[in-house]
Amino acid sequence: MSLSTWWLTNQSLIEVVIIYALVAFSVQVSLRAGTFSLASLGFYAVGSYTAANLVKHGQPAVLAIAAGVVLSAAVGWLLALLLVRLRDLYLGMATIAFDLMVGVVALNWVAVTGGPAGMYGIPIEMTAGGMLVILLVVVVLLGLLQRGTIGRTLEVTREDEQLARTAGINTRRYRRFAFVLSAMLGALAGGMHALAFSVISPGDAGFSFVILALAMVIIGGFGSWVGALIGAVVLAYLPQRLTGLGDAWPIIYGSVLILVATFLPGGFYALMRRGVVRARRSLRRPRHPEGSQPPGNDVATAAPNAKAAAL
Amino acid sequence: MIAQLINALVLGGILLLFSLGLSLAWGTLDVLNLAHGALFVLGGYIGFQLGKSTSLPFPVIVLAAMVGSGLVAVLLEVVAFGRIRAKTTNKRQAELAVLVASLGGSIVVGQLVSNWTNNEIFSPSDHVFTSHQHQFGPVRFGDIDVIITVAAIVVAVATQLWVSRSRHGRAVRALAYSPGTASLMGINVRMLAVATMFITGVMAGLAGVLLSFKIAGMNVDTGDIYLQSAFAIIVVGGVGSIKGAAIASYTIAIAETAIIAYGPSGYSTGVAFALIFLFLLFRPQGLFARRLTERV
Amino acid sequence: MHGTRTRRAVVSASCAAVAFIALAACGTSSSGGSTASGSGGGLPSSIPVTLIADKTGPQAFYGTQLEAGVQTALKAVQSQKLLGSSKIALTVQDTTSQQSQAITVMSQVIQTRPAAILGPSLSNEALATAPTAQSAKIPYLLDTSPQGLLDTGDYIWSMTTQHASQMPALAKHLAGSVKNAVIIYSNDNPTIVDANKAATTAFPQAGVQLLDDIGTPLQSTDFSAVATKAASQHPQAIGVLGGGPMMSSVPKALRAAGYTGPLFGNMGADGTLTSAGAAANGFVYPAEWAPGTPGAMSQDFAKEFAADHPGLTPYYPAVDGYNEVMFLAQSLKSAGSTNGAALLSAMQATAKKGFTTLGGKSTFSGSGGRQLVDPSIIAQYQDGKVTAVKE
Repeated sequence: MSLSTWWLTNQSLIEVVIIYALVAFSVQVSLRAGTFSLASLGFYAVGSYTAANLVKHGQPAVLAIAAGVVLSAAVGWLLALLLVRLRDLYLGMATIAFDLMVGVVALNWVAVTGGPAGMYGIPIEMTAGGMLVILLVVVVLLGLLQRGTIGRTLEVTREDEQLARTAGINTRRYRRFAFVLSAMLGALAGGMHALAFSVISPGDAGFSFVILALAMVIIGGFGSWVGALIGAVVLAYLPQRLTGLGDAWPIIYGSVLILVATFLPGGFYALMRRGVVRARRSLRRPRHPEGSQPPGNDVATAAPNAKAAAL
Repeated sequence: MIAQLINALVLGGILLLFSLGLSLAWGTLDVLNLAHGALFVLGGYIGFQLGKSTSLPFPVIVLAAMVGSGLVAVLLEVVAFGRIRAKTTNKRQAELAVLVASLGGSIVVGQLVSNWTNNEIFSPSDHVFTSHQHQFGPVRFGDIDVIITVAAIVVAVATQLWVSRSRHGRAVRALAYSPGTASLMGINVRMLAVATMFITGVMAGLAGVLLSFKIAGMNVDTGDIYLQSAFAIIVVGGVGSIKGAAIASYTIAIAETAIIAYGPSGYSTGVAFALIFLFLLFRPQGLFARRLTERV
Repeated sequence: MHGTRTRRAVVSASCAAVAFIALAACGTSSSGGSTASGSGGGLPSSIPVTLIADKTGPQAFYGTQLEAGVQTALKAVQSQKLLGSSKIALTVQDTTSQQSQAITVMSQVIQTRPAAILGPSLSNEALATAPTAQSAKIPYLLDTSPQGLLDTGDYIWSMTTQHASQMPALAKHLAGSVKNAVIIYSNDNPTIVDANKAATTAFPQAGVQLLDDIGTPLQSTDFSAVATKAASQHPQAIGVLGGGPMMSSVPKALRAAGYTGPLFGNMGADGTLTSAGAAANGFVYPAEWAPGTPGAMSQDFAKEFAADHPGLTPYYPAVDGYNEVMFLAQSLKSAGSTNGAALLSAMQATAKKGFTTLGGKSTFSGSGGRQLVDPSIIAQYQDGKVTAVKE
């Protein structure tokens, strides 16, 4: 199949994967910072309805999406302030409740959201090419963030908050930052959805999408945006390949979740990294006789990778 | 008005039965079991299937549904939850992994029931049990309503007594407080966890099979709605607190029923979410906090 | 020598020209819509058609039914030799009841250039995939009728009757026996919200006063409170507008609340009342078809469907599938070609003439005349079976 035919055939799949990837990034960013926030799906709805309304009133696509992102950043910041005392599963629950409440508003605020029917006929202003560009920009930003000071500070905040505070880090501000970034990524994904698929409805960012987002990050691995991307590709692409199996497909999907959660907590990304580490190690020391590898060196090379891969 | 009150009472009973199991798993084992809804539907399905293909009497069918769901819960514990707990030292990481594993379990069980029922609505046959209506003046109720209410109260009281008085119950509380210490004290943590999960599954199955006799239509999605309400109950009542779950269940049932009866009935499901949010903001430990430990 | 060659050249050229003109003439006349010849003219021997259905996932009921109806119709088209020696080659794709999946599948299906695409039953899937079919100029026949769908373009057709348009017939049927009613409807489903709005106009117009209009979320499970509220107003009839499990649960809850009167509802009751058992006996609703509908086509369908799919009862999604394949086959035959534009104009012509569906003579209305309007059969549920009511 020629490249252009492949592109045409799979354009929509690529668009879906990119949107899923952004959602996965939004969850990954917050999980990696130690805040269990799934609120980005509520902001997905905010982003998509904002973009849809603005474009329908003649505003350019870039402005429409940006507006959704900025609005979500502001609301996300307020939400983070409100939820500052919550941790772990409680925070997760509160953010899920927030998502569901946004859904109720979307269902009933007929003037702005079109009510149960949602909004249709939104002008298509997003192409797969445009989405790829946005994805690349986001990936570069996330990569820089991960390696830079902010990324490492967030990791310390997650691993041991007390230690971080002792070291003078304002953990609350960093958590809030992660929360807001997560909200913005969710809104970006939502805006792109509205302008690529021309129809949105209240159920789009519902409970099942929340679950899907979480699953993507866990299966792919939340140690890095790479894991989130892997998860998004797997969960957007696999259902397609496996529909041949018909009814058995969700059973496989569910079983994979169980297996990954139990045996592979770092997701496929961790698996990949372990493979890379082992390959690197065997390349670097090809001639050490069995059993005489100094344990100290192992720890030194293994530790940073394990830390990044584990949680 | 009395009719609506009775409706609220019965609804509260189902919610209580459902959320007790969830609360127990979360409070004692740190397991937020998203598969609880699927276990609930499984109970209903077992009731439907046995009613269709066998001529077992009502009590036996209910028991079978309870045991069936209980065993599946044990399966999840042995295959996933227990292993995760044993392998992972970081509490937060374990919670998340267990959550995802329970999600996987919910999808698998849900899809199996969906396949077995061809994605259609199912309900147990009338010949297994017919609920006769009784009317005393303005008060009107059916046999099934009585059964549900009594079952909820009995199970709640029994669980409370078990947890606070019995040896095993106290062991479960020790487990919740500190698994490490518990095993040092000679408590077989694994067996206890299995037993606890079995009980949560049994409760879910009981709630499911009883509900399926009350309403005419159950399908795979029924569990998810109850799950959302159960979250609200646990948050409002406090994790692990049976008294809290009871008060919260009946309160939410009354609130939802009142909105339907007197207000904009379309918002009835919004009540649960709003309550979750409000309580998490102002009183995250719920009404009766069992543990307020926030590991920093 | 020169002369002979030239002459031969002229003769052969003339023969060729004559032959060519003759052939062209024949070609035109046989593809000019001669329905009597039976050979379909320019139709290829294998006509690719793709069905995108919700075969798995929460809405699998619709996809399974739709596919069953389509398959039965295909067999009927074959056996009646409607398309002469040409055969429709059907490919089936699954949306897994997810919009994102439907979108992905659609862009792949478009690349295979089928003659027509039969679409899914979920409104958000339809709305999201319609623009693709429109820009590819491939006729897209859908099993759902949300607002705005047909505005996408003239290649988009809705082959299922809108519930809202069936309300006047229902009201007329009820007006003969009741003077007032209460309606319970699901307020988070756009099709039902539209149907409810239509009912609130149609019922009073027919002489049935609506005492109350109670909204409830579709996914609710415990309807005791709603039932008590409805029954306490002592209406002469109670209506349930919705779909899925609630269609069984509400009647049961109504009976438990002490209501003994007649029940009615929308087409969402088709296939969803069996769980309620005796509680739903006597429930009437408008349908596109029900066993007992008069007509040879109707009786043949019942027999064929039972033979093809033993154990499966045909409800409206299956009826839709059957009707749309018949419509497509008829249009293909008169178009004599699988060319998109030609097929489209044949479809428009067939629609304008009036098209016979399983329920009787149907019309097309709405935007561009592409919304199917079936004659409303009133169906009644009794003891596990649905039959057409003789008016």
